[in-house]
Amino acid sequence: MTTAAPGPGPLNRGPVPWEERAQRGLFGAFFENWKMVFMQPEQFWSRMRPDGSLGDALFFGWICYAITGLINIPIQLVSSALNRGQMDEAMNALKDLPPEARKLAQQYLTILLGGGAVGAVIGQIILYPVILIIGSAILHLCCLITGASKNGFNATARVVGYSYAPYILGWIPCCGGLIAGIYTIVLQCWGIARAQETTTGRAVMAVLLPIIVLCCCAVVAVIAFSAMAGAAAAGSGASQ
Amino acid sequence: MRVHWPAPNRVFGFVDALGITGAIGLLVARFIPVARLPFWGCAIRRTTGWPCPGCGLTRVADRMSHFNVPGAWEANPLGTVAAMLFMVAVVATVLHLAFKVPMPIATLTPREWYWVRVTVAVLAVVNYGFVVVHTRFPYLLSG
Repeated sequence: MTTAAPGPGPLNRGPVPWEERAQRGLFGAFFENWKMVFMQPEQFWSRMRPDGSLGDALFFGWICYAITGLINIPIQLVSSALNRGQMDEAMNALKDLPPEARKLAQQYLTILLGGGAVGAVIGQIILYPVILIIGSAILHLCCLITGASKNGFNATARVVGYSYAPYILGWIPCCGGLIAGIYTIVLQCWGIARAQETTTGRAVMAVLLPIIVLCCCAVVAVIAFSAMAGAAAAGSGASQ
Repeated sequence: MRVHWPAPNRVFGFVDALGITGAIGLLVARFIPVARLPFWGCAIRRTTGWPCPGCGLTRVADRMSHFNVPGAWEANPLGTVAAMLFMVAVVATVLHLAFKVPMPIATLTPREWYWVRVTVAVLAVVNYGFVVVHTRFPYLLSG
């Protein structure tokens, strides 16, 4: 195994454990790769070749998501059974919606309550490679905007695939998804910086750009909504 | 700018990823009435009456998937250009992955990249101006 000093040291490119499946075996390679991404990200990203196989990285990300998805199925069934009362209340609260919107919402809640949840998880697992490709395309667009695209789309997509390693912990109730999501963002920033051979600032900007845009929209919407609500309250107070 | 034509290949690249993204987006817009879903729509526009820079993109996707280019242009011109580029990417992806048609690789200098970014930013601002005028002051466009 190639070793590298902590911090942004020299890049010792070579195949990562997952790309040595023929020698290490499928499970050994997966476990070694997962451990390296999760525990030694600096070594992993410094070692990962930007021009390596795209399929290997996406396959790794897919397996990580599939493991969590399969573990999640019984948990989702139990939680949807426990939340049935709340769902019934939500159904009753839909009386004020327009008929068409109510029908759609009721269909959605019915799917959530029944075996649809399991179907949705299985569907997500099957479609996940496509989701990974779309995510890679969006992230690479952001890399182009921030000037962090030296090694091309392949490097970005490989970072996206391997950075999904924390999703194995996504099944942990309450905090699992949150921790996995945050650590995936951290790994993507780190990975883009190393794979695209750019500064950490540019990599962070590229990864956070979609999140920043969404947050700005949400903040503006909340401020606008608060201002309108305040104005409406002041108007009703003045008229009394 | 240098443009390089590689040998015929099926190597999956950025344009292919954009092509798949565009194909899925346009198919969803064609067959699912997204705008009619509950709670769909711009919260900023709903509360203030002023559009956000992305207002009209759902209509663009819907109208472009029905090949209504003038209608899409009216909703959001830059979004229409983006949707057209996605359509080109879909065709290019099919040609590339099915028939090994090579994708040209364009290499830009840092200075050229700078001007590309500046141009896109200016276009985004001009586009937002159009969307605001079209939503709030339509009489300026009709006159």
